[in-house]
Amino acid sequence: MASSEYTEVVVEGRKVRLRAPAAEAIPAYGAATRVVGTAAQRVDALEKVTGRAVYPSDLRLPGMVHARFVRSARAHARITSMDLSHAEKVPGFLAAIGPSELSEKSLKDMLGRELPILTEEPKYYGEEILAVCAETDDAARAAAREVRITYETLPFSVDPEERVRAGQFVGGGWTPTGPGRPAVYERGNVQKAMAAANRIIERTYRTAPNVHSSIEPHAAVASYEEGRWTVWESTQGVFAVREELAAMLGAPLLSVRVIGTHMGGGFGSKVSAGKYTFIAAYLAKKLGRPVRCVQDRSEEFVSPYGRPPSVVTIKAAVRPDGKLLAIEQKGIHAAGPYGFGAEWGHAEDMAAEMYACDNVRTETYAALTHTPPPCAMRAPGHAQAAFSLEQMMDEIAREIGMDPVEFRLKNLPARDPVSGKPIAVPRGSHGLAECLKKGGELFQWKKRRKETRDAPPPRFRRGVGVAATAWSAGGGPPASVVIRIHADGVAELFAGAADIGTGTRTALAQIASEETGVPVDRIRVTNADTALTSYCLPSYGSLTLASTGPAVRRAAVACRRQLLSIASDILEAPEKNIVLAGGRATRPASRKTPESSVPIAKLVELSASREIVGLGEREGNPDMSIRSHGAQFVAVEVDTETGTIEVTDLVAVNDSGRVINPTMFKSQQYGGVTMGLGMGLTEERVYDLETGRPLNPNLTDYKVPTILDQPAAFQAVPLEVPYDGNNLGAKGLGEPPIIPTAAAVANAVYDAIGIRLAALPLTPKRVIDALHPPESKP
Amino acid sequence: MDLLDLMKSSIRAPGRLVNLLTIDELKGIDVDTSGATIGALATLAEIADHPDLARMFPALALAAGHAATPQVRNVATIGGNILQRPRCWYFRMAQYPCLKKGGDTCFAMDGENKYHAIFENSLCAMVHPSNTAVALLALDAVVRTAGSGEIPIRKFFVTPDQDILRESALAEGELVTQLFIPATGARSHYLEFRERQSFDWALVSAAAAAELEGQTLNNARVVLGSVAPIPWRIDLGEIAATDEALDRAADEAVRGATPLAKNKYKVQLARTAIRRSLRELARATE
Repeated sequence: MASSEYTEVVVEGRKVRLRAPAAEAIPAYGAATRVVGTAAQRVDALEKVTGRAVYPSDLRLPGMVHARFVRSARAHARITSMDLSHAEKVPGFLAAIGPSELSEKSLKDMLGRELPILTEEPKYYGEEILAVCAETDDAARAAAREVRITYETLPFSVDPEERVRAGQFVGGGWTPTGPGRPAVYERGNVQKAMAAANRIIERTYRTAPNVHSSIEPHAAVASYEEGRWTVWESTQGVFAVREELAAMLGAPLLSVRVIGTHMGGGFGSKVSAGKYTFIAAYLAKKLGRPVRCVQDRSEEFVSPYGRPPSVVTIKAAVRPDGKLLAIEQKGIHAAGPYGFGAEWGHAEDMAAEMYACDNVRTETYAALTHTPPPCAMRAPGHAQAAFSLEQMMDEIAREIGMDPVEFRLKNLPARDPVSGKPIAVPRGSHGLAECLKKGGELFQWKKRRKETRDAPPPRFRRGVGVAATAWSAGGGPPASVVIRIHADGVAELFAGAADIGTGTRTALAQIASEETGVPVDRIRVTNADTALTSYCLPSYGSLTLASTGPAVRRAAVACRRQLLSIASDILEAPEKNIVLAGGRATRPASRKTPESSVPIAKLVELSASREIVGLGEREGNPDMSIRSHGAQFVAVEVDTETGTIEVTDLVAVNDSGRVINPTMFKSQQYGGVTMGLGMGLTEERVYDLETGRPLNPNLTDYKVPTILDQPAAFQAVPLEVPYDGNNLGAKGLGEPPIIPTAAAVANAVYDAIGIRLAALPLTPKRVIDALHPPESKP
Repeated sequence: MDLLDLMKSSIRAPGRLVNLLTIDELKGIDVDTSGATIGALATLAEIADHPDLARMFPALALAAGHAATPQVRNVATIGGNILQRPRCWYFRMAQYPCLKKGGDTCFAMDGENKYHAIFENSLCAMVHPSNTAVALLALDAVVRTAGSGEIPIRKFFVTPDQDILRESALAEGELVTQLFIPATGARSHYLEFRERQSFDWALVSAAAAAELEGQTLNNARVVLGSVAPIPWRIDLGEIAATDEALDRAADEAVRGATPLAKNKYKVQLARTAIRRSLRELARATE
């Protein structure tokens, strides 16, 4: 498949077409692979289970000191006084930094909107006011507690709908508008289509504010020596942190080295430098000692924010034969007081992209709430959007008496309805159609759907539901990888990508092993270190494997060619007859000659360079809409007397092209679905409306699902629909599995009890309130 | 008491702590024909896994086994469990000077109260968080203390009206040493409803106990958890072990509920908990 030839950029106001770097095509994998596609054990499994893997928050450097934030106790206030005299008396106190010292400094989001690092006029509960630093973490906490602040309380609202009614909003999404104007997307003529249609359904859906709940909190350790910073950061992207931190410090790029080899989860919350990063680096220079700045669990609930709450009203029109005629959507989401990060809350893309529909109009309101700025959280926007869109698809399918699977199949787009580009379906099959068909078979959808419809309503009512997803996950440049094979046969692989727990390091080693023949356990992966590895984007947007993986393969192929050339001379055989595997180059036995082989170590030793080096860069993508698809089928049992929803069966089918490691593929499905079940059934950050404070900033009252909350029968199924848009044939998978889960559960609950639950999470309270409406007061 | 949690939340800041874990006399479980004597330091895991307790006092073993997580049950003691302070989020956040902390307002009354009390909630809407207290009250346990000696469990838990600053009748410095449960031959059962299947507090729990004679439950009582500031005991006396009679009793028992704006659903849960726990006692006969 041809790469896109040009990228259009703007240079000093001029449009320039940049040619994609010329790259020699690498043939697709043959019918059989030796290492790719196997369930190789994680390369760092032993390090992690024995505790030898050092995470940034674990790091203790000689002479290291500790920084903590003083946070606002008000949702909106002006600070009238700050008294540090008690804090300064805490034994071990070293320094405090206030807003005036950093008045010129700010964080910037992807659209250039700014967020102060410290503020004198906090606009949400928990906003950072001061940073204090002390010899020990306990002393830093004590000093932070001893700071006396008086506030003049100002009006606030944490309710996005209230803020929109008051005109306090900006347009959301990636092409934001100014204050007081929603972002609008429109194609066709929705009004006309609605007027002509006779089957129209409208409903408002609400999702709750969610929190990433990464096991490792946000953390940075910084040291400053001889004009250079070294920062160990729990991050999804060391290069993003380097760029942003260098800009904030006003320092050259190369004066900042960021290391993030191991990190304990991000889910979108660690894609850029944080306030804690800056404070650690700033204090490290100021004090001349390494500084650690780590957040508590309770702080994780205020900074940064997670998935903002959304209110989506959707209206859809359908023809009796199942053709989707029009979708009209109005979406409101909390965007914090600054609009900073508003791009992460919008729930609009999915309504526009997912199905073939000629008439679509969406309006997005990013409400300026007194809550923390939103940040990306696993499938930002899509997870919220799926809850409304995929329930609406269920509703209108039922409205016309059509099976919701059939209905979706009937409305699949061949081209991306927004960009007009063809959807990458090289061999005539549609990934989503395949997922829906396969999932339906495994789940026995038709049979079970009939069973639940025929069953009489007992105390426990059963229902089944389905929902689908599409997520752009083709990856792409930039990604550059170096592989060095040494004279002892050990290979080093240098890649900039962070492994955020998905197994990136292992998958990359497998790809390198496939070509070079160096066994996976003889490959050392050095990743996410700006001094040792080459630039790449953060591990977000499900792009890591599909971006860096093809670059690894290209680097490995470069090594392979050199190894084969030497092996060909030694084994006196043409290159095509030599197999690189198991750490050896082998010429298989033929009728005339017995098998002969030579260790890869020997080939390297005999090479002119005494080290085999391969460089690989990510090629461009084909000019297509590249999507990872998925469908989920669930069965629920609703206890109508207690409102408890038990998800008894779940089938998750995902197509993201070639599977590099089936164990880790399924782990992504299990993890994403579990997070989706949390979003659907238990997770909600509860705000006190009187004070604007989150009331459950802890993992006991903010309820992440436990292993006992998993479906009893849970099938995670990889579906390898062939894809040839990159040399691996792989697309991304990190985000798709969370997207349809909550909607699929809600659809099943409707099937069970005949009531549409349109607000998350689906708690026993919501079920009971729906089934046994509280008597209205006279 | 869950002292460490309270210290982490800046609710308590004791200057000195006394470690009780070294006192062997407070440990262990002894069961004989007169009943069960349970040391205050017996862990929830020991209680949940004790075969004699499971046979004679299933409500207690089940209640202990439902609490928290396996890791917590391995270290949490029954003495600490019945003395837990409220889980009310307004109580747990130092920023809210609520009645229980010497302030003058119950913030839950007009605030976020989906987990709060539906009985005895006119002053403070906390719910008592202990699972095992619910079972112990249904089993007519006696709390033995180093101090006043013995406190019948019916008098052990105090309402906000009686003392807003405390949840138990223990005097300052008084220590729970043992719990004694008399063997009466009563059947018992415990169940709870919650939002997730582990590491969660009950939305509503219930322990039921009664002696069974033919098709009649004698001396029947149900104690509800998480519905009031104390474990909420309902005495039903003699009642026919039929679905209709038990359903009627359940409806009657919740008639006096005074739910708040966001916890009306708990009335339905309480009704169901009463009905199901009593039915379980009756069902065991078949």
